[in-house]
Amino acid sequence: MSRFLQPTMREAVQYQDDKKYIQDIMDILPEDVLYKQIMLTNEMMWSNKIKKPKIEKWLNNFTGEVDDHIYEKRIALWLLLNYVYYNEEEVRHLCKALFNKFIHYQIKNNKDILGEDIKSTLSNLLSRVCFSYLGQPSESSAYMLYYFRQENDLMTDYFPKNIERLPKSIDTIIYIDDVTISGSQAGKYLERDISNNNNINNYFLLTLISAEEALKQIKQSEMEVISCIQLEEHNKCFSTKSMIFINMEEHIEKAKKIAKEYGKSLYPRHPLGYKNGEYAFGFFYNTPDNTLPIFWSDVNGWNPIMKRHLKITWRKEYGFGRFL
Amino acid sequence: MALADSYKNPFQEYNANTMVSNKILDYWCSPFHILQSLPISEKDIFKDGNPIIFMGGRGTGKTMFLRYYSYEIQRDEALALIKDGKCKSILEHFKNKGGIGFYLRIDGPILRSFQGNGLTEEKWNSIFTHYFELQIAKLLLDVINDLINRNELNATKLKNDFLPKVAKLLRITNNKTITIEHLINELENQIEEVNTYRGDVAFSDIKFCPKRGGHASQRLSFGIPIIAKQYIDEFKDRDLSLVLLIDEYENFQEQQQKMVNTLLKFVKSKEGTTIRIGMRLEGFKTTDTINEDEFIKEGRDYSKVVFEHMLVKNKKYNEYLIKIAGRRLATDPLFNEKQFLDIRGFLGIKEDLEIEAKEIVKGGKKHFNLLINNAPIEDVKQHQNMLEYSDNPLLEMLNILWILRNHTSEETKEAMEDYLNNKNTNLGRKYHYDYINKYKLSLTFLLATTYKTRKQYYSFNTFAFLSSGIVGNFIELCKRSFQYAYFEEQNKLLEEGIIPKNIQDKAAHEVANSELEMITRIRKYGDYLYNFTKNVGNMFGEYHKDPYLRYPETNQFCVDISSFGDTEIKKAFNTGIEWSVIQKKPILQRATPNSQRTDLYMLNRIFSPIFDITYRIRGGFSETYDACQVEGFMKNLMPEPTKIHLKEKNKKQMITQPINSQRKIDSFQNEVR
Repeated sequence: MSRFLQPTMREAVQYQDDKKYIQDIMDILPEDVLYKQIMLTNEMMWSNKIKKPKIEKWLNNFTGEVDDHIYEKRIALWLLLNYVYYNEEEVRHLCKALFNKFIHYQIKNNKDILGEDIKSTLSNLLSRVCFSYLGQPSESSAYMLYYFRQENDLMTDYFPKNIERLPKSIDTIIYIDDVTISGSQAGKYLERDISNNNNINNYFLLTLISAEEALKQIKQSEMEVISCIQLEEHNKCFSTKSMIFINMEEHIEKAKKIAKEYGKSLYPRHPLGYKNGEYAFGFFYNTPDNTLPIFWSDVNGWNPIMKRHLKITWRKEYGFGRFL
Repeated sequence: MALADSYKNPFQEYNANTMVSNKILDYWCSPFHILQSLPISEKDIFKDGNPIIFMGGRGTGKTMFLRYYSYEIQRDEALALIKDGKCKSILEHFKNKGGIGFYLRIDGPILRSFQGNGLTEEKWNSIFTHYFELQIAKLLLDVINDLINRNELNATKLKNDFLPKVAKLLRITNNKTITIEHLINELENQIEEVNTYRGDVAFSDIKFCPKRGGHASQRLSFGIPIIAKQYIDEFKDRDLSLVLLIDEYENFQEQQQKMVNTLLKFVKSKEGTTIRIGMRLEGFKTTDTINEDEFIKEGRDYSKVVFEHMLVKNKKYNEYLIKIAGRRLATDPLFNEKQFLDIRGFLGIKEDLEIEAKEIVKGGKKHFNLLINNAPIEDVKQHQNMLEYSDNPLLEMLNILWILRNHTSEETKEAMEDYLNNKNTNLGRKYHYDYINKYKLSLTFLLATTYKTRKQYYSFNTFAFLSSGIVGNFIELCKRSFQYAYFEEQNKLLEEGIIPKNIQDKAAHEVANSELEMITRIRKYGDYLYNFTKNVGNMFGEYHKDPYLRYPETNQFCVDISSFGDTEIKKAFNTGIEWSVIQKKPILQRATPNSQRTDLYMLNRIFSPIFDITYRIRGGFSETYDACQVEGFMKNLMPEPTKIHLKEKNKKQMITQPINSQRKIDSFQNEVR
């Protein structure tokens, strides 16, 4: 006879408790309400990118390997509802806000650029700067430059091909990026560019989203960071301060376990996202790896809901490297 | 871009207040071309000299209607016709229509701001009258200016007589070189004077002293149209009326309505000007005028058109809804290409109760418990075999009902077989009659209750009924159905042009629930009406669970409002009618087959899915409530009245009630809708 059919008293109590938390989540998060909210969010914010069949396919990844499969699915649905998706319109808006923030910062901190009016001040400011991307031209930072230029009506002249040969009048390089979470990548490129440019006195990183730890790390270098959205502890899905599980803290650990255990087979070194990101956000063009892999991974037969397009290096493309 | 990518819910836009001109033209579907025996014709909109009041609940299309006949929309329609070579000029189009409509809607908060702050009512009335006159004058001059700019009117000619005369009305003395822009500018300044005063009066003791003096009622609103008809050659034509279209009249305060009522009474129809008003049901706060001894009377001073009445009893209502939906579907390129332009294709024409019944029972026989628990015969199991007919659980339900009503199993079986074999026997005919004409829908509700599930609400026919004569309800049902279908069954929607019935049902429930929630937002009496709806709805729900189906599909009630006195409850009840929570039947009917004719009411049928009740009106029996009961429902003073009510009826009494004592279907067939 199976252990479940003849439980000990202790096990029976435990079983009852287990049932209770499942019932709890079903009561707090009714499936039809979650789907309705997701549908509305999908219409309003996600550009109708996700439909119910796709969600169901994604939910089918959760087969009950970690917890009761109903519980797993309900938690997954809740995480999805709390996923922050930046559509094209919002990215454009953030680009505009970012530039405004930069101008404001400069007017406040750099008296040299102040002219008679805002027009002349802006002209002074722009005469000394150039904009560039971090990393490779095919990466998201370069993609961001395109929107940044368009939204702020900037001339293409401010975006030189080669920042190693800049006119002497330029003393400020402004890097544009979408997101910096750990700060390690920004630091790496900065080091390279500083060594190649003697004229440059100021470096800025303008990023749509940044995390506290990245700001700390980058500010140790000579770079100023300006960002529109600053991620904090409460933005992490499974932090004790998590906004997602506010008023349902008792589910944090179970939810984390579900994300982590499935994450292990999806992104073994970082099952909760790069450097334990634990985030739940993405852009219309891609999903950062700091976001939970259960959202974006497509390995080992996993059906992603917000697919991430991985960076493929030359070695990987030709079959090298992936086994190194 | 693929056509599917450009998909946008064709029922998304709903509010005619915020709709741009071309959307109104895209979606407009003239009731005059489809609906039959309407109380007015399209020509009357402009040609009937008497004022007309268009009444209707929220979403009945009053604003769409008035805006369509306004200058702005008609001008754009004219421009499209000119482009197609079907009309020579804008003014020709207006002459063909019979007049020019000047649309005026003043927001509720603005109307409410003309009171308080230590000023007397009299003073505020004068300020509002002044403001109202200015608003109308501006409307008129804006239209004339637009016609000048479009070379439909000659600006130089207007300078000779029209403009100086209007300038004189506005008390502009140096009026020889006046232009229409000057006049409009002057009006804007005078309106701004009022607006500034409204803002300042709360913070100071300032007095309202308009620079050019105040305008008394009718000075501009009647004065300018009369001058226009006299001095603008193009307006002299008798076929061109100047019609003021005032919307949302229910928002006007009592004193403000008195002023406008006076305009209605003394409208200058002989001079070719008249008034049309749009308002909610019960939207009149008063029928008095500013002259103490006079009031306005329907028939003598104005005629009334009630949108719901015009629609709900009309045999062509469904056709009208199909056309309305068709106009919207045609705006989607994909549906256009695939010719998915008939809403019935998406929703299905009618529900299939037999299939639904099979889906409910899923091969089970639990519904025979009704027989086991209630039948007046012993050894029920023995009879069950005779009464079973697995192909159609609804026939099994009817068989159960027959047994509960003292028919024998043998007789019931014979009747069913005669019916199935189309035999023209007495029993066969009676069985057919009971099944098709009387109980089919009720049996489905009862069957669903037995299986602790819900009857689904789907199909075009059901949605048309649920809409309760309110086009907006129908559009909302479609909107939510399309919204869910796009999210859950995109391929079926876009590729096959089908919305599954479970999605329609979900949409119907959601609309019902959001409408119920909306009741609580009604500023005054919202809570009372919410309770009333819930309690009465639950009461009707109990009738649908009655295994004897003594009063099938009961969903109407009868109250004598005049007995309520001038109480809060009466006001709340009338507010319910104003917001279409409660709908009054257009003609007097009998509450029960043998009683006297009286006013009958029903809950808006859009709520039906919440209470699992019928969406039709069958007539027959209606609940009768007195003032105390209505108060009890509104104040939640009657806990579970429904159960008490049904328990009062003795089971034996129900069983022995002869089946033919009920009202015959013929007598209420005409009332079905």
